[in-house]
Amino acid sequence: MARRSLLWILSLAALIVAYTLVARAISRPDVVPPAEDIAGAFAALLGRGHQLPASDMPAHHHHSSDQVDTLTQEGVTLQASLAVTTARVLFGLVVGLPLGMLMGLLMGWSRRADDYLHPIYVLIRSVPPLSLITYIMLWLGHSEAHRLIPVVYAVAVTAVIPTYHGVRDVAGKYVVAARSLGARGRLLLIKILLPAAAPAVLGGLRYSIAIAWMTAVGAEMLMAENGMGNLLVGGGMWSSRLQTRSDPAVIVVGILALAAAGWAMDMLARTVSARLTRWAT
Amino acid sequence: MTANASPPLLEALDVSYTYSGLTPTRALEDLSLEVKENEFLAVLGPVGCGKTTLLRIFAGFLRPTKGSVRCAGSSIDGPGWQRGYVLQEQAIFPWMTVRENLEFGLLAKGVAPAARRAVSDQFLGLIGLSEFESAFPKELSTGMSKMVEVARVLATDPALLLLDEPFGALDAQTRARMQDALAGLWERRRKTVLFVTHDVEEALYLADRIVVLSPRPGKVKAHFAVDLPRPRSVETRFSTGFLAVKRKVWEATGPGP
Ligand SMILES: Nc1ncnc2c1ncn2[C@@H]1O[C@H](COP(=O)(O)OP(=O)(O)OP(=O)(O)O)[C@@H](O)[C@H]1O
Ligand SMILES: [Mg+2]
Repeated sequence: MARRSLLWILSLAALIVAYTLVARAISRPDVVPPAEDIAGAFAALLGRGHQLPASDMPAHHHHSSDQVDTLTQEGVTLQASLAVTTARVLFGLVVGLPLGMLMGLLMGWSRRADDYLHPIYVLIRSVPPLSLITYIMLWLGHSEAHRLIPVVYAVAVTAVIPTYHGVRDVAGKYVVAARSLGARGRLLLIKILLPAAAPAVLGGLRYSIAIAWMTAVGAEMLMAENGMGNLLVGGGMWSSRLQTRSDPAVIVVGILALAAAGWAMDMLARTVSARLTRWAT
Repeated sequence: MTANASPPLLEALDVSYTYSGLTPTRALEDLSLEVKENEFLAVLGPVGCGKTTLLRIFAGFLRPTKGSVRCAGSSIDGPGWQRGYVLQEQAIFPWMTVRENLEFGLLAKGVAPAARRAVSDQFLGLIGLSEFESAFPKELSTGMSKMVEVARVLATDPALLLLDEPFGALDAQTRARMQDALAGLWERRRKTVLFVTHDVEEALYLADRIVVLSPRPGKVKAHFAVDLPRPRSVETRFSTGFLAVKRKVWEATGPGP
């Protein structure tokens, strides 16, 4: 275990050194910001410069740029942005997973439900989640709804197929055995159908998580004044974004933070899955 | 024999079954069969002749295309614990421990935990898997899993046992051990058993009577009574009585002249 984490740190250090060398060789700070700029942007975005008014900060002590200034003026920090996006992702998972699983269960369980629902499902699934934003705004104006609903929708649509196959392809023989032992209704659902489908559903969960992050950040980039998507496009509403020059260091910090968050959540999902399906080989 | 006087527990009358599809398959045709109470009946037949189809009809998962099936006097309408069914494929619940598997039928019946435990204790002892009570099925061998499946069905105390080639995937030695275990269970608590196999010797060793099915579409081709004394043992397998019936069954099942 210790050996593995040591290797991990070594490879990370090697990556940083390699990046610094490449950045220096390419010498295009507008697209490949030097590592110290990234570190500076990281510190600034953690809210280090926020205690002082931005104008009082000597530029050579702190990493400063249009985008960082806009963000700090708006009180945007990396940790708050990440927290908001994580909350949207979790909301999407908590609401979307049961919806998608319910549909998958129905379609996997009943041939008739499959016949009716499958074509409808394919139609619905073909709508890109972000294309819903403007339509939701027609109904509800500028609100949290058009950031949450696309995430819920994307998660639900992704969860259907693994559940469907888990129930239809795996559960069959166990359902036959259980019904011959007298099981019906809720017992059949909870003790047989759900556990039989669990490995497939939990495998699908990893895709749902990835999709939830993509959709949440996308929605934020388009229409939000907080979250990681907002941080990436430099804060402010679209009108002012056109005037803000993007800072490559901020964008790289945002991308790295999203990568780390996605990795952490996938790790968590895998740990939980392994715990829940200890019985499987 | 007293068994001859009692009415059949299970009967199929002129049963036909056709699987619909692009090329409809006639699996069974005009099959009639009776199983008496507490009788151990073995069904022998070549691959694909409709043995599993017949069991699924008796278990209540398929409805005959033609003809009727009755159990204990009433027509079979859907599955139920009174007709315990052990599938041909592995269907031990992998997410439950051995004990939970054994108790599942009782849980479905609404039996209290203490009473469930008493029954599972008894069956754990009978199949010799007491140390494995809290193991998950992945830790069991194929043969052990199958014994758990058979015991799981017996634990609910059904009137009828439908077993579909339970020892089909085992090596000869394990197979013989499992046969002895099953025969032991059966002699201790008599049940009506319908046992599907394509192993002539297995049928002879276990059954009171053997029914041989014809190739697809399956119908009854021949009957044999197996009047060998119980309990049966290795000696039984080499007795002249055993070999005499074996020759007759062999001639009926073989390709023939
Ligand atoms: N679900 C199904 N759909 C269509 N045809 C089927 C289906 N199940 C079985 N059949 C066909 O019905 C026939 C009888 O099948 P069945 O499974 O009852 O045979 P079996 O005697 O149990 O064979 P085995 O000894 O291999 O287990 C076979 O020809 C098979 O192809
Ligand atoms: Mg079969």
